Amino acid sequence: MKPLQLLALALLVVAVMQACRPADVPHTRAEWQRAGVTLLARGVRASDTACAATASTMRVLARGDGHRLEEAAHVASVCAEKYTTARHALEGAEAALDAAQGDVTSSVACAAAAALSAVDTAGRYADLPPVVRQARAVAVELAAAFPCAVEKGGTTDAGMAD
Amino acid sequence: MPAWLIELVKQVGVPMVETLLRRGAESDPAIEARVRDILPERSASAEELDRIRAEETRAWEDVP
Repeated sequence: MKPLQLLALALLVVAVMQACRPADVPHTRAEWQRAGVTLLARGVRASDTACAATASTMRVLARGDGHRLEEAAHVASVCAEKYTTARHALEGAEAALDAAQGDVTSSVACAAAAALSAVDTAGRYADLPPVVRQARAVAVELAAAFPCAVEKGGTTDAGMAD
Repeated sequence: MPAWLIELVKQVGVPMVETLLRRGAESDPAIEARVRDILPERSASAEELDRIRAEETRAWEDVP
């Protein structure tokens, strides 16, 4: 096959792939990152709910025992703290995406790290639903791929179309 | 496609990744909500902590 024919075939394959891609799948870097932030938020909420359920069960089983109530309070307190940290980080990442200014990638990475910490903390006390496992997988990849550091100048996300 | 996404595809497969990310696409009405809509200011665990503290208070009050 001649080089021109090969090129034409390659262009045809690319065109077909583009045409077959579902319209609602994100295709810019910002859309992928926003989808990730939203998924992480859902994972954080579900993990917090599971953690609260564990603390609630501990409270009921304590039957007024002060020491056992303190253990339940510890679980609820740790999860609430991680939730608040993750919430602030996710809102920060969303604000950075809205403004499209500053180090958006770093904000997303920091939010992923905070969400991962919240999910893993809840996982120490509760069985987590599937959405949390999915969010965790995304958080791990985001946190590993992009450093959580303000000094980084957005060079780590090269290769993703804007 | 970023490296993290390629790795994710390797781990869970293309259909799963598409499903996950479609949930985040703007066409999904359920996901148009902002982070603050998904994550209320008061978490479920914070609400539960309030209940536990209230019960602790009652428990100490019951001590003769």
